[in-house]
Amino acid sequence: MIPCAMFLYIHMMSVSGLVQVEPPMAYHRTFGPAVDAITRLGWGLGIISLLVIIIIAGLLLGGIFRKRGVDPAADPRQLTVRRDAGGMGWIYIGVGTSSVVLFGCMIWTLIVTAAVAHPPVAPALTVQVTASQWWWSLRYVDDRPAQIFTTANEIHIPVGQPIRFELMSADVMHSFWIPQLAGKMDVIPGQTNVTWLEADQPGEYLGQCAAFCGPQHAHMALMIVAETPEDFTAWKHSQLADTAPPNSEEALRGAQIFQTRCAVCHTIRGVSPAGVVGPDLSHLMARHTLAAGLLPNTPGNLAGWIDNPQGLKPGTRMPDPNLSGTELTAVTSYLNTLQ
Amino acid sequence: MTFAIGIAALLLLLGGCKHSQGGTTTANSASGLPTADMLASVPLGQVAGEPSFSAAALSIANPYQGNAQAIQQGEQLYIKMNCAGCHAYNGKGNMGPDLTDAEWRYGGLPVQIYKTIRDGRPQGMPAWGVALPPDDIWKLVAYIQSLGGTVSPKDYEHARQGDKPGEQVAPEAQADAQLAPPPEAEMSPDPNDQPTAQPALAPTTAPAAHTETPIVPKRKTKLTEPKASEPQP
Amino acid sequence: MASTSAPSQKSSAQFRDTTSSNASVHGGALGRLLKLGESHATFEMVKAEKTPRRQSRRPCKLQRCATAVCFSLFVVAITPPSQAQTPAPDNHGNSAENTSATGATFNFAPNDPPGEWRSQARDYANTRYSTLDQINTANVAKLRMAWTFSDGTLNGHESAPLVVDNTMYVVTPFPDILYALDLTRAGEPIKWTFKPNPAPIANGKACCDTVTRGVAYANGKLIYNLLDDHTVAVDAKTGKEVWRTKMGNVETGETMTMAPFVVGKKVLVGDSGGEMGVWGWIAALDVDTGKELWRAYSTGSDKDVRIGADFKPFYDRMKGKDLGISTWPAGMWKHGAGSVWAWISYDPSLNLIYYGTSNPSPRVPDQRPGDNLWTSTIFARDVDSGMARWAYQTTPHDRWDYDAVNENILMDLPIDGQSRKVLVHFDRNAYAYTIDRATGEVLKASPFAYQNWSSGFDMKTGTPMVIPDKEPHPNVKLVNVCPPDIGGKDWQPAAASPRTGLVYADIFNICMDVTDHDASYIPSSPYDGMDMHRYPAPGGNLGEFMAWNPATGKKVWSIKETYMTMSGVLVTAGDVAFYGTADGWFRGVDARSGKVLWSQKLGSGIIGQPMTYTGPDHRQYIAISAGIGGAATVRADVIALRPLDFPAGGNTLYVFSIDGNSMSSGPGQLTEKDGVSNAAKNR
Repeated sequence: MIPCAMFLYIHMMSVSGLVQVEPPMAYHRTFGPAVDAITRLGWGLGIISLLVIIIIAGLLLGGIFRKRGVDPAADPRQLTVRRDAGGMGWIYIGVGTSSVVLFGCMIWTLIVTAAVAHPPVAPALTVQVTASQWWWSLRYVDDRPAQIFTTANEIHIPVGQPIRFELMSADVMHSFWIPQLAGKMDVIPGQTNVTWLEADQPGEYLGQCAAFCGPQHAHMALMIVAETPEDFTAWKHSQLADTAPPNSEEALRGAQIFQTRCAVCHTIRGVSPAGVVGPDLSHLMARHTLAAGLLPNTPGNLAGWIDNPQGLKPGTRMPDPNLSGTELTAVTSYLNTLQ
Repeated sequence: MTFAIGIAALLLLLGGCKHSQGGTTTANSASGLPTADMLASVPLGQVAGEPSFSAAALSIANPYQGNAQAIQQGEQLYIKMNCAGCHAYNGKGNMGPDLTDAEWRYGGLPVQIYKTIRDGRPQGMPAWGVALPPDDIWKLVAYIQSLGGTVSPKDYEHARQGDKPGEQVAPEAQADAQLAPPPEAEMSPDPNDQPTAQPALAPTTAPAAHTETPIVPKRKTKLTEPKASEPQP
Repeated sequence: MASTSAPSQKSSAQFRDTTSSNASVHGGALGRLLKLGESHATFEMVKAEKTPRRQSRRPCKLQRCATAVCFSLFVVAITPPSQAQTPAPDNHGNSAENTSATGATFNFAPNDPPGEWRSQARDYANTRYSTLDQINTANVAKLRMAWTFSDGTLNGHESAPLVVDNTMYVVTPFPDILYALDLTRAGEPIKWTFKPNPAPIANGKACCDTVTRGVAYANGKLIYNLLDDHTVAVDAKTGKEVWRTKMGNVETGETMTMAPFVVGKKVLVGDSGGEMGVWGWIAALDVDTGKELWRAYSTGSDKDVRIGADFKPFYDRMKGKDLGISTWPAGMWKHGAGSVWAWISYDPSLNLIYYGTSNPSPRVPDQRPGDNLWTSTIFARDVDSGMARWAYQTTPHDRWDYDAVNENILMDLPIDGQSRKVLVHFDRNAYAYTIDRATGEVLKASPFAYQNWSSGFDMKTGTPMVIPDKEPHPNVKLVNVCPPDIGGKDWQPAAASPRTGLVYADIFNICMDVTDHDASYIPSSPYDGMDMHRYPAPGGNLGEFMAWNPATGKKVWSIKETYMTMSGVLVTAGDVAFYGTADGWFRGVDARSGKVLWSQKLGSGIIGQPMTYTGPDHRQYIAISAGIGGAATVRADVIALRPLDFPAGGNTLYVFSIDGNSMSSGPGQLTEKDGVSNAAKNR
C-alpha cells in the first residue's frame, strides 16, 4: 500500500511541477517491455486499492454514523426484537465482490509475471555482471573470443533488443535493479542468476544495488546507457580498440606510475592485462561517472577520487595511494588519455 | 512504560554499535600502524656492535594480529596478489618457501615478514611496497601469522638466537641474555585506540631488576620480570 | 596350415620371420619333396583302389624308403613348431632374437658414436636407444655401483650427463654449474668447472624447481640454458665461455629450463613460464656465434607465430588467419604463454623439427574463452626458416594445464599394411598419439593413463570430446579430475627400441581436486589461479612403467610403482630398459617381457634421465642422477601401505657397471694418476 501511495505521490508531484527534476529512479514510468506490463499492473492495483480504501472507508464511516433507531422510551425489561437488517447481504456482496476483484488481480498478476519472465525473442547480446563490494564488473560475451571485453559500472546496450544478463557475485549478496527497465534480481554468491531487459528509447537509466551489502551499499549505482544500434556498435569498437600510447611526457610518467602503483588491481586493456581486483579502467574517459556512480567523471573529480578514496567512499576497497602532487597530476593526465 | 522500554532499547542498540571485536579494518593514515621510522630501524641482519637498539624494533607487533576480519582480508589479498601462485594456496610453498613451517630465511617475526613483503628479497620475492599500502601488507602478515609458523613478537630476542620456548639454558649461556635489557611496552594491537606516544626504543635504566628466568613459553606463563603492560595476543 | 605365427604379427617387408620358410609349401627344395611325397601317397592309394590284383605286389625297397622319408618330412612340415617365434604379449618366458612387435624402424641420425652420448635424446628422432649390448638381460642383475660424483647442488636433477671423447659433462640445477670429468683417469677427476653465475632472482620464477634438463654438444662446444634466460656455449676442452646470448627478461617471470637441441649449425632453444604469463617462443641460434637466426612465438599474429603460405594444418580447427589472436579475448594472447620447455625432434628427410607448446595462461579457462591457439599445440617447422608446416592442438582451450611439450619420437611404422612416417607422442592429457609427421594427421589416439576428463576422441575432427562436468569454474571446487595438471605423463622422456618395436615410458596414475581463482596479471608474479590437491587414481599406485605399442595404441605390459615414476627412460640393444622412481629405486627391466631384472636403491629420488656409454676401459657404464625435486611432489601419504615422507634432496650421479668394476676402485692406493692402463688390472 505504501509503495502505491508513493507511486501516486511522486507522479503527482512531478506532473504538477512542484518537483522540478524527476527522481532518476522513479519507477512509476518505465521504458522497456520487461517492466511496462508490471508498471501498468502496479498502477492498476494501486487504483483498485485506492477504490477499495475509499469504499471501505465509506462503509466504515457509514457504519459508525448510521442511525440505529433505538426508542428511548422502550422498557428495558422488554426483549428487543431484532429485525433482519440485511447484514448477511452486506457480507455476501462484500465477499463476492472482493473475491471476484482479487481473483481478477491474481490472474492479471500471473499473466504479467509470466509475460515478463522471458524475453520475447532470444537475446542477441549477453552481459556477464559480477557484483563486488561496491562496484559492478561487466563482461560482454561473444561467440568470437576476440570480441569479448570487460568494463565496469556503465552498461551500454542497443535499443529495441532484449539483453540477457548473467549475474554473479564476487563476495556477498547484491541485487541488480534498474527501476525504469527491469525489476530487481538478486545477485547471490555461488550461483548465477539470469535476467533480461530491453530499452524502448535511447537514454541513460540509473540503477542501484538493491540488497544491503555493506557500508557503501548506498553508493553502488549502476547506469544503463541505451543507444541506437549504430551508436552501440561504435561504442563496442571503441572499447575493443587498442589504447593510444601516452601523448605527453607527463602522461608517460603517469603511465609508469600507474603500472607500478595501480596495475596490481586495475587493468587497462592493451597496455597489459593486469589486476582483476578493481574495475577495468580501459577507456575510462568514455564513462559518465566514477566510483560506481558516486561522482561525475570530470578531471577534478578523478583527481579527487584517486587522492582520497577513503574520504569519499569510506570503507571502499581502494586504499589511499598516497601519491605526491606531481605524481597525482601525472597519473590523472595519463588517465585522461584513455578515451 | 512502552516509552521507557523503547528508550532503553535504543540506548542498547547505540551502545552496541560502538564496540566491535575486531574494530574497523580501514586504518586511515598511521593510526595504530608502525611508522616508517620504526620500520627503518629494523635491520635485515645482525647489527654490528651493540645489538640492543635494534632488538626492541624487532618486537614491533602487528596491529592486526588475531583480527578475524583482517585475516580474512589478508587471505583475499594473498590470493588476488598471486602470493598463492608462488607460496601455494595452502601456504606450503612451491616456487616460494613454505610459510606454515618454522623455517624463515629472512626472519619469522611479524615486522620481518612485513619488510620482506614490502621490500622484496633477492631470490625472486617481489617488492610490494610500491603497489600495496602498509595497511594491506599488515593484513597479509596477519594472515600469514594465522598459518601458525611465525614467531611471536614477544619472542623476538629468542628467535634471533635460535632459542625455543621451554628449553634449558646452561648457566654460561645465561650471561648473554643479560646484555639485552627488556623492551619497553609494545605497540597497542588495537588500531581503534588513540595513537600512543612513540614507544621508547632506548634501553631502560634498570637492567639489574632483570633476574634471569627460564625462557618463557609463548602465551602460557607470565614473565617474572616486571613489565608495564601485558599485550593481548 | 603349416605356419603358426604369434597373434601380434604384422606382415611387412621388414619383418624377418623364420617361420616364413615353413609357412609356404610352394617354394624351395623341401617344398618339391613334399609335393613328391604327396603325389607318392596319392599314387599309392590310387594304385591300391584301381588294381586290387596288384595289392599283393609290394613296392620295392627304394620306393618304400623314399615314401617313408617323404612322409616323415611331410609330417614334420605340418607339425606346429614347439618353440615360440616371438613373445606373446603376456609371455614372460624366453624372448627370441630380433623380433619387433610393430616393425617400427628409426633413423638414428646424426649417428653419434655408440660409446658416446652427445645429446639428451641420443639422436634427432629422440629414441634414447643405445646400440651397446655389453650389458644385457643375461648380466644386468650384476650391475653394481662403479663410481659416483656429487655435484654439490641440491634441488631436482633432471638432466643426463653427456660423454664425448672420454670426457663426461655434468650440469647442475641452479646455479647451473658445468663440470667436465676426465674419464681416462681413475676417480674421474674434474677437468674444469664452469660457473656461469645466473641471477639469483631466477630462483623465485621457476614454477617447478630450479632445474635444467641438460646440455647439448656441438662443434666442440657444450651449449646449455641458464635459468635466467641466457644461453651459453662453453669450449669442451677448456671450459671457457665461447658465447652467451640473452634470450629474455627473467624479471618478468620467464626462465629457461630446457636442454638445447642441435641440428647441424643451429641450436634450438625455448622458454619456460606457462604459469607466469610469459609470451612463449622457440628460437634458433647459430651454433658457433650464438646469434639468433629466427624466433617463432606461440601466440599472436601469423607473423609472430611464423605461419605463412606453406602452413597446411590437417584439421579445420587450425585453419584461418591470425588464429593466435582471434581465439583469445581482446589482448590476452600477449600473456598467453605457450612456452617451449621440453623436447624437440628432427626429421632430416623432411627437414622439419617437431616440438610442443605449453598450456595457456592464466590457468583459469573461464578468463580466456576460445581455443587459445597456439598453446597445447604440436608444431612442425622447417628448421632453416622456422616457418610452420603444420600444427595440431592436442587440447583446445586447455582447462587443466595439459601442456603439449612432451617428446615426439619419430619412427617409420607399418600401419594397416602401409609404412607411415609418424611421430609418437604421450601427451599430458593422457592420450597417446601416433601422428603422421608429414601432414599432422592423427592416426591413433588412445588413453595410456587413467583419465576422466574426456569421453572419447573424434577421429574425424581430431578433437577430444570434453565432459562438461569436468570443466573447472572459478570458486567452485571440482572434485576428482584425472589426470591432474602434471598429466598422465609429464616431460620425463620415453625411449623406443627398434628391436622390440615398442616405446617405453614412465607414466602417472594421479587425480586432483581443483578450485580455480580468477588471476591478476602482475608481472614478476604467477599468472595462475589453480588451487589443487593431488592423490592417486584408482589402483592406489602413483607411478607406472609401461611398454606401448604405437601401431595398435595399446599397452603391452606395465609395472606399477607405489610412488611417482618421473625419470627418463633408456633402452639398449641388450634389451634392457632402465627407469627410476621418486623414492629412489633404479631398475633394469627386460624390454621384451617386462620382467624386472635388477633394482638398486639410490640416495635420493630419481627424476633424471639415464644414459649409457663405453668408458676408455671398454666397459659399458649406465649413469643416472639422483636428486628429487622438480614437479615430483605428489606424496604417498594417502596410501595405506605405509606413510612415507618425501625423500630428502640429493645431488649424486651414480655410474654402474657389471660387478661395479671400474678404474676407480680396487686394491692399493689408487690415485688420479692411475689411468686407463690400470683398467686391465681390475677384475
